Amino acid sequence: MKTKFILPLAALLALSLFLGGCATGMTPSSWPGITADAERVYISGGPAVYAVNLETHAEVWRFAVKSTVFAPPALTEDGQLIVGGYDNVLYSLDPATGAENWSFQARDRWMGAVLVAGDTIYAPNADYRLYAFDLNGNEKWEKPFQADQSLWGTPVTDGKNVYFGTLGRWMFAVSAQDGTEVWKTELNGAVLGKPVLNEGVLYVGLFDGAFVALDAQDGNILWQEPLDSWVWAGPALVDDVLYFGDGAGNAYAYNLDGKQLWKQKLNGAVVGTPAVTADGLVVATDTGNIYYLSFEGEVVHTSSVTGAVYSSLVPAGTFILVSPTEGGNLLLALDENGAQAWNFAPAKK
Amino acid sequence: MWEWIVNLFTNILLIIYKYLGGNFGVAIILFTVLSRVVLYPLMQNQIKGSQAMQAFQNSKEWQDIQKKYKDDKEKLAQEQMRLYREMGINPFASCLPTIIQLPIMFALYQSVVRALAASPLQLLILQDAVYPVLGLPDIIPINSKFLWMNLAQPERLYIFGVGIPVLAILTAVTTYIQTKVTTPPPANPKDQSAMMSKTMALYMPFFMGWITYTLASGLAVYIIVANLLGIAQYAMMGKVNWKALLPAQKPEQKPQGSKK
Repeated sequence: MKTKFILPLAALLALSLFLGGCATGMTPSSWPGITADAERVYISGGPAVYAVNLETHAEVWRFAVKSTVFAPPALTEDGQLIVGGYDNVLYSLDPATGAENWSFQARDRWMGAVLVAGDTIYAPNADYRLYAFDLNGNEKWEKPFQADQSLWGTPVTDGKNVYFGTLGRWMFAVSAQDGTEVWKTELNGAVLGKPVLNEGVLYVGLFDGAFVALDAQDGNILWQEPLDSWVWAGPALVDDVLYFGDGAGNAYAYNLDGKQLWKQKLNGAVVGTPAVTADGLVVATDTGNIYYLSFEGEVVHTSSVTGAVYSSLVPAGTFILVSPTEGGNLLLALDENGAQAWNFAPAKK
Repeated sequence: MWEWIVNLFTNILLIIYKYLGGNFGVAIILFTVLSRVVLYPLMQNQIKGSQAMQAFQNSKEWQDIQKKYKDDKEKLAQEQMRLYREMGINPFASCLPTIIQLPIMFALYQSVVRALAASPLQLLILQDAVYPVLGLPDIIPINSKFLWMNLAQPERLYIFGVGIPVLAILTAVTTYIQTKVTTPPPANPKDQSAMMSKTMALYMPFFMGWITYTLASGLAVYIIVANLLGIAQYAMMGKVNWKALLPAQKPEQKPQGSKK
């Protein structure tokens, strides 16, 4: 090829490679989602869903998706693993083998975990819709419920209604039977996590840095508390106390009337839901610090991992499962003292 | 440094978005206009540099030197540099604005993706990037819809079920028009640099079209508006050669003796 072609083509190729590099910034990205049963832990870890044996710590299977997958998988009573990907596909997999049972193609990404309630799967999607499926993957409602904005958080249900928040700062209640709207309440901040429903009251943190309680009957705001920063994941509820963290690195405990019981300053933002153990709470931060707190808010001991921890921590037996981002390991199991018991990093295939 | 630039662009885009209508497409267009205003002096230099270069190419002295040293490339280069100095030409003056615009394009692309925060990790990154005074919780979610487009995704206009990449086509067409009407005709079309320019002019529209076909449509909006503003700027200076868009007329063939 002549020089007159080579130089311009080389320049365009370089430009193309640079923009190609930029394009990685466009790739939707999140942090791994973890779910565990008695035998295995399932991780939505980017390019694939992985199943890891909790005894041998070995990979049992992996299910590669077309794009990426980050939503925590959910298990059904009849033995399915439901997980949605950034390829817009909701998958039903066999938890033992990873074989696909059925799939459903939506218009946008599945950001949050689905809620499995009996024989119904409630699936929030970034296309502003909440879908309801039976266990065979058939839509149960005449049409999915369309909200005002993307749905990133997992819904909750009391059997009568399904409750969820949106990025558009609304909280919705829709009929579990047919998906029609029951009520909606405008909030001051986006809802990114899963609310907690307890005795007719919804508790949820907001991205504008507040924590609110709403009456599940009519959506009225019962109380709201300003915090130091945004709240991402839903709270943990233990013995009528709500535990959660915020972006400023605080761990909080509130009673159900909105009274702050304690506040503990940690190093780094708290994104995930704290794990609850028999002795207290385990809270992770985006600086890779793991805090073991008593139920009274005292730091019992600390640990650290390589990488940021955004994912919610998952207890599995005596271990706490941690999935750090960019730490080299997809999964770490910490013992009661915070020491690393074992790890899992998927082999390249 | 790069992160600082991307964050700056992200904040400028979000300020425009927040205070001027809450439309991200409009924010990109206004940002493009703003960047063109900031780069206006450089663009003027580019135009002047191109004119000086054209005068240089047409000068009798340069043509004589080319003939004289046609077999001595090193000497030819030395003489060329000497002439540049004498005529006060900076050979890179016409390239500089283009070189500066490329990083702007890259940074803007990353800023668009960052500002739209279409995934959790991107929202966390945006949270850290946005100046507190802007109040991110008040403006998210950013409305990524503009006309028929989702600015965070590659664009297709569906007509009878067929996805037509309208913006990619417009990018290719405006890039072609801008290149054709603003590039002065070379004094010697067989000169290597002229042939290289011609090749670039041929490939660039396809390349830009392909980029906008595959990447977020927010970038295509920027490129199209930047192309149109570029043409307008040349037009205001009376430097647009619209005839260049017409099919080229073949020069009359002069009888030539055969060469070995």
